[in-house]
Formats: sequence, C-alpha cells, structure tokens
Amino acid sequence: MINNLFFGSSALRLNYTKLDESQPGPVTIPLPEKVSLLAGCTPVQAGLVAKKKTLLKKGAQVRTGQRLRMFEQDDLFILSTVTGTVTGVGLYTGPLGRKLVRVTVAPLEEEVLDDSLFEPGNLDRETSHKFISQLPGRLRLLPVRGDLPPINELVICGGEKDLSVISNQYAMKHERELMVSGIDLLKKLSRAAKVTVAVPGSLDACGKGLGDGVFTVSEQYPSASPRLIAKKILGRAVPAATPLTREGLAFVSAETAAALGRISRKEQGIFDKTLSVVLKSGTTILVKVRIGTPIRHILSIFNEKLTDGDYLIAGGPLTGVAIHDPDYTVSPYMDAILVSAGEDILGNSDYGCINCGKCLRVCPASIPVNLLVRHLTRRNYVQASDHFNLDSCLECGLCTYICVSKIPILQRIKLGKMKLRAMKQELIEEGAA
Amino acid sequence: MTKLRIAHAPFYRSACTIPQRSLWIIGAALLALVPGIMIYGMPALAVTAFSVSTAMAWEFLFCYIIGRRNTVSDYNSALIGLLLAMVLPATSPWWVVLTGTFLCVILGKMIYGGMGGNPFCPVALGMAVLLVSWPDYLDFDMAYRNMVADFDLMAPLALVKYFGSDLAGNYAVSDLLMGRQAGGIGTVCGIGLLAGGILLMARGIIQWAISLSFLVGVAVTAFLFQLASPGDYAGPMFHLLTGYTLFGAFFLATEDSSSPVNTLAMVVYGLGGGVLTVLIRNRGVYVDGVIFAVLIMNLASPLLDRIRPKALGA
Repeated sequence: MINNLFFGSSALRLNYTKLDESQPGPVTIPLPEKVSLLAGCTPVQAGLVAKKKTLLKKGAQVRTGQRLRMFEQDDLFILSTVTGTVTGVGLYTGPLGRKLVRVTVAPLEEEVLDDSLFEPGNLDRETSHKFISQLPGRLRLLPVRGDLPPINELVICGGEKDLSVISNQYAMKHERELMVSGIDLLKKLSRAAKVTVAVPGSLDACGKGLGDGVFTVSEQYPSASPRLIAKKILGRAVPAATPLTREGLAFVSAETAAALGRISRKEQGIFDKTLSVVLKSGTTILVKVRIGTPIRHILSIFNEKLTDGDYLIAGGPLTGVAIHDPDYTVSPYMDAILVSAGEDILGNSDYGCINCGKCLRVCPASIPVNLLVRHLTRRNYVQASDHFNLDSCLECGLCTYICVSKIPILQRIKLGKMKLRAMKQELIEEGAA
Repeated sequence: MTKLRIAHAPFYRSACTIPQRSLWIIGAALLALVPGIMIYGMPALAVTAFSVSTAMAWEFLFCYIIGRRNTVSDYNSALIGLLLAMVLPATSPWWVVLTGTFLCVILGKMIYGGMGGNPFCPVALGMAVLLVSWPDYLDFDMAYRNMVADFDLMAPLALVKYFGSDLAGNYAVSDLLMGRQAGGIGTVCGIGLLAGGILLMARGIIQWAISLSFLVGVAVTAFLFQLASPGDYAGPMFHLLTGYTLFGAFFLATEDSSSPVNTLAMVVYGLGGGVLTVLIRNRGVYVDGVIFAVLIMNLASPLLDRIRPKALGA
C-alpha cells in the first residue's frame, strides 16, 4: 500500500529503485545442500517424466554449465548450475499451476566448468536463445526461430523490469569489464550491426563506450519496458501483435551480458544471480545466489521465518508472482524476492469500475482501460482485443496500482490474453484437422 | 507446512479507495454548504440532514430488498444526498426532499447497478425531475417569499431574465461570492464553491479539463450574448457567479461515471455544458440551465469518449 501524495497528479509517478552506492556489496549465499533446476514442459514431456523415460537419471554426475538433455524425442535441455550428483528427476507444479520438470542436484565443494560452455560460437540461433535464456538476467528477447529477419540492432538494457530491483544497474556499475566481453560475444552470436545501451540517466556514464550508442531511459516506471524503448529507437510504435524481434531488434539485459562475459573470460560465477531480498521488516539486501537455490535457504541465512498467511513474492511488487512454496527455487529471471506479512497488501474489492479515469491517465500504452475492463469482466475477449487494445498492454500493473475500485485489472488482462491465445490455438488445430 | 497466501500482482496499491474519495468530495462540498447553512439558518440544516439521511436510507433499503451487499458505507449515497440538499431551496417541504433522494439514489444510480453504471449524474437527474414536477416549490422567488434576510431575496437569474440585464448591476460581485443572493443552500457561496473545486482539482479527484472548460463555455457564450444585445443579456461574470454555474462545474459535470475520461473529450464535454447552460438561461423557458445542460452532455459522453489517443502499436 502506498499513500497518495496530497496532489493528485504527482501520485501517478513511480520511480525505479536506484542502486544505492552507500549500501554494502551483495551478500554471497553459500550453496545449499540441494539445488533444484526447473524447466517448463509440454504435456507430452510431462508424461515422459512421469513414466521415468528421461535421458537423465538419478545418480548421474554433472558439471557446471553442462547441458542436461532430458528426452530422446526433442532437444529440451537444462543447464546445470552446479557440479554434483543428480538426486532426482520429477515433475513440479510451479506458480499459476504451470507444469515443470525438476532436476535436483546435490552440489559438490569443488566446481568444474563444462567445456561446452566455451563453444557457444557454433550455436545456431535457436539453441543460442535457449542457452542464453538460462543465464541470469530478466530481459532477453532474441529471435527464437531461424526464419525471422536478421538482427539490426542489439539493445542492452541497463534498466529494470520493476521497482525494488537493481540487478541490471549493479551489472552496469560493477561488472563493466565483463559486460564488454559479453557484448562482444553477443555481437558474434547475433551478428547485429549495431549495439545500443539503454540505461537510466543516473548510469549514463557507465553506458558510454559499451556499445555504439547510449540511449537514456527516464527514471519513471515503466519507461525501461522494451516496447517503449523500441518506440523511441525506431521512431514509431511496433504494432501490438508483432514481436519486437520481427522489427530487427533484440533485447538483452545487462546482467545477461555480464554472465556471457564470464563465459568468454572462463570465470567462475556464471550462474550467480544478483537479486534483491526485501524482508518483512522492510530492509532490502542485495544477494548473489546460485540459480536453483531454494528460497527457504536464502531466507534462513537472514533468519527470516515464514508463518501462515505470509506472502512470498518472486519478482518486483508491481509485476511479481506470489509463490505458494518456500522450496521454489531461484530462477534466471527472478530479480527480487519480497516477503510480507500482508498488512501492506490491499486486496481486491467487488466494486465495478466507477469510471474515474485514473487508469487511462497513467497507462503508458494509452489503452482505454476503463472500457477494456468492462469487456474483460464480461469475458468479451474478442471485442476487448479488436476494439479496446487488449494486445497493446505492457503488463506494467500501473492501472491496477492506481485503481480506486481495487479491480484486479492486470489479472483480467493476463487472463484475457491467455484465453485469446487458447482460442487461436484451437482454431489452428481445427484448421489442421 | 507453512501456508503462504497467494494473490495477484501488483502487490503495491494506491491507498485511495471509494469511501475516501467520497469523503473528500463531501469535505469539499461542505466548504460551500456550511456558509449556505449559516445564511439560511435552521431550515437549511433540516433540509440537508433529511436529504443525507434519506439518501442513505434509500440505498440501504434497495440493497436489502434485492439482496445485495450493503454499499452505504462507501458514503456515495451520503454524497448524493448532500449534493441534492445543496441545490434545493432552504424551504423545500420534506416530501420534495424525500422524493428527490429517491429519484437520485434509486433512479439515478442503483437501478444501473450502483456506482459506475449510471449514464447520468444522479443529482442532476433527480433535480431535473423535481424541477419539471414541482416548479413552484423549486422556484427561489416562490420558495423564499416569506423569508426575511438582510439582502435582496430576488433570485438574480430570474430577475435578469424577466426584467432585463440592467438589474444585474444590483448584485455586487463580492455579494455573489459571499453568498448574499437567493439560491440553493449550497450553491450561493461562490468563494466556498471555488475553494472546494480547487481542492478537488488539486487532489486529482475531479478533472480540471471538465470544470475549467465548463466555466469557459459559460463565460464565452454569455459574453457573446451580451455583445449581441447588452440590454437583454447579462455579462459573463454575472452568469458565472449566479445560479448553479460553479456548483455544476465542480460537482455535477465532473461526476465520474457520466463524464468522459480522455482530456480532449473532457474539454469538449465541458465547453458543451457551458454553452448549453447559457443558451437555456437566455433563450429557454427555464431560469437556470445547468441541470439540463449537464444531463444533455451526459448523453453525449459515451460518444465523446471515442475521441481518444491511439494506443501503443494499435
């Protein structure tokens, strides 16, 4: 809950959290007894895991950075973030009911980096994306398929996804040398003609010399959103239904660039994720933690006890996801962990929209939210998409933040998008049949 | 095992809620209402108290009968009752108030599903029905005929409409601002209304685009009429400070659900309301046109809201 300032117009301004130089550096969390690696899977793959028909078996020895291929039938692989022994391969139900494959590894003291890490040069575009997406960092929009147009411009994002998050700013400020090497590697991988660094104004100096140009992003949330940056760079808005990569733009976060830098310099700590932990007391601690560490392990280091009715939020306060299980593990894109006893968290109300118009005045995508939410509530998803710009939504959560009626607008928007995707998929399948 | 709670993003939310919003508008309205009650005395207080309580009672009763969650605690019906009392003469009989609050709360709001569903400003709708039903009780000259005050109790707008614009000079601007004129309980004190309006605009509860363009619409139209025929029509200052103009600009036209939300649409809406107000005053049969102007612009509001900026990538 945030109390509004007295003047209405200034209450609409939320600024990104800035990296505080006076704060001590990140606390390194020791390796836990057990690391769990998670990967999304299709129903078919879930079936194979349930029948224990995986290539990876319990007892296998793995090295850090090794590609753990899961199935004969496809090339799904999980990058091992530690060196050790596999203690189990199974299924796990993640947040929002997603089915995930879970590989648990008991790490050893001595760490061995796998040789395959240092040959990313011979990757095709599809596998390079899968590879990079398992490195620490939040924003990675590289073309997934080979039939997409070539990348003209590579944008390194020094801005953040959400409030309370400083992972990219930390990389910009303290891992500059690594970023230089990482960007070189990325250039080779993507064959991009131009590299632009998009940074918040306070880090302008850090961005100089990293790429061909520096692009300053405003401090105001959500101006670091890729679509808003793309609009500024291209001078026109990319149509809502078009992926940014189709316009020849690729976005990679500063943190990912630094991780790639570690690879090209053969340094340790490739899979260490920088994230902010906000405890119940409100103190924020920057930590460095291995991907796959259970959240419970991190909280135990700070003596934070979870009790019934607490919230555990992965990601920032405006776009994060509430986690149901303290054993859920740190993922490559988890920029923050928020623990709250819930006194500050305002729930929804059952009021309808009162048409005050605050949402559309705060919307960075100029969506008529007041009309959109009425259609979404009545489940007119097609109309919402055709006439009320459902697809333009950046999912920044500002409308829901400001809503006087406390309507779960963002949730309804996400639900609407999901339902539309499902409808389209059904149509495609019908057409195929 | 610990049972964690699940919710959906965003987890930070603005603390502004519907009851808070209603209370702020009530507070701003009181800035004009309290001086009004001090001018008109006990009868005005009685009308206000009765209006607020019956408005809340109607909403309570309606929710009870249709078996809906009781929404009286959001203070919106109290606000409606308060605003209705502000436009009524201090001498209104109890049954006019009772009918008025029924019209505002039930016909103006509840039958559309409560807050946010109403196509018309509830107070303007209720008042319009009262105006056409019992013109005598709502005519200020009739209402205040037995009242004694230390200022002229002839309603300024009626006087000018029927006897020519020369009489507008009888009313000093300072008198009009301080509430020394005949009118609705809460609509006579110009200073109070201005203070309340500025407070609400600064808080971002009402939109400057509606209020200011409404006032500009009134001023420009009145000026043009005066230019055409100075003997028949009073000037902009007179029209701004008499009748329901200020009240309409800050409290009626800005009602959330019946007004547009995009800036350009709001400007057109406000200007239209202002122009219609003076048109009805100068050329229509009614002495004051604010109530009807607001209702007509309410009708146009969904259409006006189609004037909106292009969404990102649309």
